[in-house]
Amino acid sequence: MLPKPLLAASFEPLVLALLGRGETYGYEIIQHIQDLSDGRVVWTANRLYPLLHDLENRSLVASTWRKAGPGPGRKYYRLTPKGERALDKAKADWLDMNALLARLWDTNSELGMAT
Amino acid sequence: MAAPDFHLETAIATWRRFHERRRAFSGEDLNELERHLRDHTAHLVDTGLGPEAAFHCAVHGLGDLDTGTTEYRKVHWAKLRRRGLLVHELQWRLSMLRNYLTVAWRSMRRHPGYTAINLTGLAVGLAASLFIGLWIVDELNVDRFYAEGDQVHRVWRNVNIGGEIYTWGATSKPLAAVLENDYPEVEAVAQTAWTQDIVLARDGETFRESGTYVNASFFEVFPRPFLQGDPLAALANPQGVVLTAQTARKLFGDAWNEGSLLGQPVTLDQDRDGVITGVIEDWPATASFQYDVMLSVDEFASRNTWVERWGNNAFPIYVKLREEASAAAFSAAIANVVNENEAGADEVLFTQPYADLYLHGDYSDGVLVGGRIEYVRMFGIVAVVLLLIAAINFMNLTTARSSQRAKEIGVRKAIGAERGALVGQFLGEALVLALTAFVLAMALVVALLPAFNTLTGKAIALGDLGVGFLLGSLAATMLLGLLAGSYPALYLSSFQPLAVLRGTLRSGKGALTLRRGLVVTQFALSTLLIVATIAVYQQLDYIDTRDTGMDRNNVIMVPQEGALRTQYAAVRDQLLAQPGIAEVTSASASPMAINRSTGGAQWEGRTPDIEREVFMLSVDYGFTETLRMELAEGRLFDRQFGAENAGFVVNEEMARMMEGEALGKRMSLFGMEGEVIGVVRDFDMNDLYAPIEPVVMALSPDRTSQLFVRAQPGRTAEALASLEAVADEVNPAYPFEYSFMDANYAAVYASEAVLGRLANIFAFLAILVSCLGLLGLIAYTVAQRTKEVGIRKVLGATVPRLVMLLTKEVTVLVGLGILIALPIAYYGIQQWLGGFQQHIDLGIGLFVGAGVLALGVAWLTVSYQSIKAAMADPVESLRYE
Repeated sequence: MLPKPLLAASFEPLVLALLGRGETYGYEIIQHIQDLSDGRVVWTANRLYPLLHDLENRSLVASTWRKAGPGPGRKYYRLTPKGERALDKAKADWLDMNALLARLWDTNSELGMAT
Repeated sequence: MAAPDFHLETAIATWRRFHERRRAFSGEDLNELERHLRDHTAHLVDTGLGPEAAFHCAVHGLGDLDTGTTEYRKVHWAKLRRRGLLVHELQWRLSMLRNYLTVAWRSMRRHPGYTAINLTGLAVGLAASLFIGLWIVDELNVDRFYAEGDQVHRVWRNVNIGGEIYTWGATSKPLAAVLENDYPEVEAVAQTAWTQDIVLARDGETFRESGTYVNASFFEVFPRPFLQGDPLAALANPQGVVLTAQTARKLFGDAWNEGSLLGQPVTLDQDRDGVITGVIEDWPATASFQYDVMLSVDEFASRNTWVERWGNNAFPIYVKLREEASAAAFSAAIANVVNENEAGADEVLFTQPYADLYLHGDYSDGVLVGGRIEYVRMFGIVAVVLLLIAAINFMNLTTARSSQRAKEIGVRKAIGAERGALVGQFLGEALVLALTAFVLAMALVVALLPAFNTLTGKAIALGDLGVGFLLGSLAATMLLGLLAGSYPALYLSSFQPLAVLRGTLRSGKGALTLRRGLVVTQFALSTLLIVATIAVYQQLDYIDTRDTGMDRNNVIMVPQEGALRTQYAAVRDQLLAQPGIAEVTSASASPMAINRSTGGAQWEGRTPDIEREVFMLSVDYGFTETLRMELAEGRLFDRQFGAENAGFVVNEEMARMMEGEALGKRMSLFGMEGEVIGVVRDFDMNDLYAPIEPVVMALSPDRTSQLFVRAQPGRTAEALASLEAVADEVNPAYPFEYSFMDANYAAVYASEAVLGRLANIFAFLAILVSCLGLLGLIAYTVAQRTKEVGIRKVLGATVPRLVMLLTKEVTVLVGLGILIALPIAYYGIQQWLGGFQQHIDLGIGLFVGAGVLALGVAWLTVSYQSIKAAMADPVESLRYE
């Protein structure tokens, strides 16, 4: 498992990123992330759904109920245009952060601070 | 590893129901979670897990939903704030409330006996308090309906007689003109005479109505809507007659208002003419004035010129001050008006707001000392006491039951109920009970209101209640419910679940002490009411049966009107020949309502420092004998000595005042002269609150106005029939009117009688409610000690010993309550009795009796339960639980 602060910071960008690949629902999100991270990022329903609802409140995602076998239907979430802009912004921020870390870790790069 | 009886659908349904009950999630959120749970379980089953394990894994995968709840609610709140839909949150809260109420309702239904006891006690207590509340509101509203009524004041006289101050309301007629003319702050002055019967005749039909003489500006001071006529002009006409709508209907039929009645002639008291000049709306029940007929006081004065002189005080007087005027300044300004106009007068005038008069009308030594307000306060206290007893019941029963519910609470806490939820639940239960009791109480009030009106002589209609009163009492009930439920709520919810479930929790010592304290309080209050009731009853019985110096029973009184007065001697002889009639005599007034007095009586040896008023009765032969007054000295009026120089018969009080030997002294009053020929024992006059006054009786049959007819024993009905036949024959112009002297006497004490009856009822209710509580408590004690009783029995305890064991505590508590109550009761009753001139002496018997009664009732209440428990088969008792 990854450390909690990192999980917390990446929570919303990861959900947005996953939704950016197409409509999906809560259980599938958890499964995907778990699979993609080789089990290093595991979310519980009690955290994910409030986040989804919050995104919905902020109009970043929209939802639709669809029928599904016995029991209640399934709630599918997708990005709204506003959500896509938020995803772009998140992507840019993480890439910046990534680039920053990469430069710091690249011992060959010139940082211009040892002069 | 899956248990054979695991069904996934059942497990999911149970999981869902659990969360539905907690209402932490909306239906949609729960659907989403359920879907998640199902997907996850299905997935795990696909990977080869058993359904039960898969389900548990999936539930675990949902995470801690309690923490989740907080997250959900954070989001939820944000959504609400954004959409401005706080209503939804309210609904959520309400649904919590509904949950509490549902649980409360179930709890009530599970213990019907306990619920019935609790409900009955509360409902009865509430209904009684509601009735008292109604009565008090009605009393407080009397005379408060006049427009600008706060500017109206009554003028009183503080008359100094030999250093003692007497406060009288009757004033001299000329005072009205002085106040009206000399004091610019006076807007109008109303004057009334005493209430009297007025006979109205029209087209040969006669009607006897209660009425009085008032001055022309009466309706300026006491405005009433005029259905016909002009308020200012109606009684400016000396012949004017103003009727109420009800009287107009009597005289002119139901269609009276179709044409104008103004100018219609009526004959008044069969000897003078009047014309109708006004018809007013009926007086409301909350008016002190209930005159059916109002005539002109000037017309009265033209026939009775004595009233025009200062010093002849006959008329109550009321002033209406201008809005800006100060009543206190006016009261001070008029203080000496009588002294300035009447030689030798020593009195101070002052005013009192009219609206206060009804409740605050008793003066002692010139100082306002109260009046009916004392009864209002007394019943207010009774209402609070009843409510207190009912509330104590409630708390007692609930805390007593708490240990029985301890397990339930332990379980609830263990599965995660928050303390707030438990408090909410218990308060919910208390509220549901209180509200149900309120509904029951309202039903009782509606059903019993007519009986209550009859009892108290009021005309309270449900329509008069007003929304405010209803809401107020509802709020009070809720408050009572909250208060009564708060101790159990806070106490029960503080249980440690672990201790409860292990069974190491003992019923708290604090709770037991509280419960005991409450029982003591309850029985102290009940005993107080019992003692008060017995004392009131004894005093009323004493008033009713004590030696009053005369015998009122079997005496019929008939007003002397028309021929009954003008041909009195012939009528008397005719009556004496009738069956059933034993004796006939007459006097100027009933001895209980002597209306003539003078400070101008003279007798030999009178010292000038004697200033007391002397009351005077004009009587016929046989008056003292017919009323069975006892002769103390000398002789009574007797035909053999003739009417010339018949002299006077006085009462002992008069004889005492005359100092020395009264017999044979010459005296004069009201223009008559003679010597005192006899002294009769003091008899009750006016009422028992007033001291006995000096009375002089003079023989003057031509000046009497009341017939006194004594029926032969057991033949009262026959005598009454004879009386009516003769009256109708000789006096057809007047409707026959009579009253029984003993009934008149009782009427003077009507308010005490009502008080007595109400006190009876309320004391009974208090005892009833207290006993209901006791019943609940003993049932609880017995249930708790079932096993103990079984073991004791097996070991050889006898039934009486067991009963003693079970009732010992109740006896001690009730006894303590009684001991606390008795001294308080003694003090309170002494205060009340002090108001009577003649009263019973408080014996020790009264208190012992009340104590024994309270204890007896308590024993009776607990005996059934404890005897039943003591007689039970020990095998059953030991199997209990």
